[in-house]
Amino acid sequence: MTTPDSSADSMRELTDRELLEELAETDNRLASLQHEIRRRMQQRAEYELRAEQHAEISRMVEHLDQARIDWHKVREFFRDTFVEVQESWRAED
Amino acid sequence: MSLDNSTERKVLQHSVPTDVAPLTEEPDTVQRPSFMDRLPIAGRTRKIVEWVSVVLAVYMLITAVSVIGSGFGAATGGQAEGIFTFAQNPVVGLVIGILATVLTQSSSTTTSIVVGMVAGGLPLATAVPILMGANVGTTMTSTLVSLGAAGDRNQFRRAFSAASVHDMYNLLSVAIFFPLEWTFGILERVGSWFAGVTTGSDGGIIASTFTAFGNGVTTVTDPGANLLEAGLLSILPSVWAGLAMIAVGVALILLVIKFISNMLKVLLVGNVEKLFHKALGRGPISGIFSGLLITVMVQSSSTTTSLTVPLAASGKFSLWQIYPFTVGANVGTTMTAIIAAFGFSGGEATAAMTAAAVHLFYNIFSALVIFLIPVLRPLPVRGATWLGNLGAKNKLYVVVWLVGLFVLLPLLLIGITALF
Repeated sequence: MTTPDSSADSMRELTDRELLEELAETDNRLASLQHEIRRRMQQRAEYELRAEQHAEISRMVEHLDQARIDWHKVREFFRDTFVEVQESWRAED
Repeated sequence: MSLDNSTERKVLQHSVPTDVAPLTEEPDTVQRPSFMDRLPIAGRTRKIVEWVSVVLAVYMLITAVSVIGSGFGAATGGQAEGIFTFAQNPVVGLVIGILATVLTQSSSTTTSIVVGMVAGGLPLATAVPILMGANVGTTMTSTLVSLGAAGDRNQFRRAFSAASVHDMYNLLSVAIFFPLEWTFGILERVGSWFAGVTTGSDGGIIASTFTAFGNGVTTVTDPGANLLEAGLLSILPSVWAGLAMIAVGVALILLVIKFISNMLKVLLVGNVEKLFHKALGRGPISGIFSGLLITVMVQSSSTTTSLTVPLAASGKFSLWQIYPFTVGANVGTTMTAIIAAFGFSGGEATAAMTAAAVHLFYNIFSALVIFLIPVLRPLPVRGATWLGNLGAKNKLYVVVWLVGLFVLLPLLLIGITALF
């Protein structure tokens, strides 16, 4: 195991060219690691989303029950819209 | 339903709403009570009774369509073409299709009635735009379903957008195929070809099979239809008897289609669920076929498209994922008219099957053209997204859309055609 001092010592032994090469390699490695982390996070998020979608589909009976017109809500919607329009006209006046 | 849209790949920013309220305020009960609950049967016996009731309902549907055909013939006295001169303008036919379906809330009802009328003598050229209009009129159902989500702005935006995908898709279909049909009559030709193959007298194996099946069906359904026809003709003059038969047929179709749809929803909900699970993550073609199969199973495109509303409202499904189901539902619903066409024999069978085939191929061609052409495919989703954002910002846009598209625009078109 290298200690910080020995690591610094070994770096001092490198030429400028070698240091730049080491830096480029490190940059590439960092980019690869970041890419891998992002890929894993994306995969995990996709997996979680897929699981949630399956869970939602498993509530199919409930969704089928909701997939119908609620005329009470339709009337309420139209009534609320009409009230909002009236209030905005009054506000303009 | 793979995440194939670049914007959908922003999964890392995907936020999962955890406090989504159901669209309606009813408790989480599984099924609505039906008349079956009042019968002293359960388990396997109940299942058998339910399936038998569906078969009987299909029998009544075919009988009702046959009654309409006979009634139309009697009421028009073979002069349908002259009587329906007003509807020869295809725009009027389109409007009739839209308004009739808005009233019945069922494209299957409208298309079944049209099939019966064509068998009874309604010119096919008059029927084709009515069938196109039925596709537009039925989109109102899912839009009205989405209004149940109005309590939460984001949920409503998602729900209304999901419902609007159906609107936009069918409007685009009409925009493409209505002028094409007016100019070239493609659907009429293809429908006639299909009817010739399936019901023609050339003795080919397909025609023989379909004809034998159709004859079997009419053997069972004719007695009921003939009884009703004879009964009404015995008490009313021919024209009035014909009108009464049409009224009875329409009423029966309305009731029966609703009954079939409700029963099949209960019987096949497990299979519907399995289809959705299987379609998840398999791409849009799988979504289209799943939407098609689900709609054939429940015999209602409104059910399938309305189902996408709570799914989209939950925030777990994007418009791109539910879009293929809408496309499939449009194709699947054509099966009802095909079934209805089997209620006729001979020349009437050919006419009825032609009308049913027009509806089938209109929806197949729409799916192929819109979904496969890259520049057209995103249009329904983009339009629905825009409309959903507008509707979430101000409810007035929703009211204007509903009243404008399904009431004012049809009336305006009729007014314009009347003037010119």
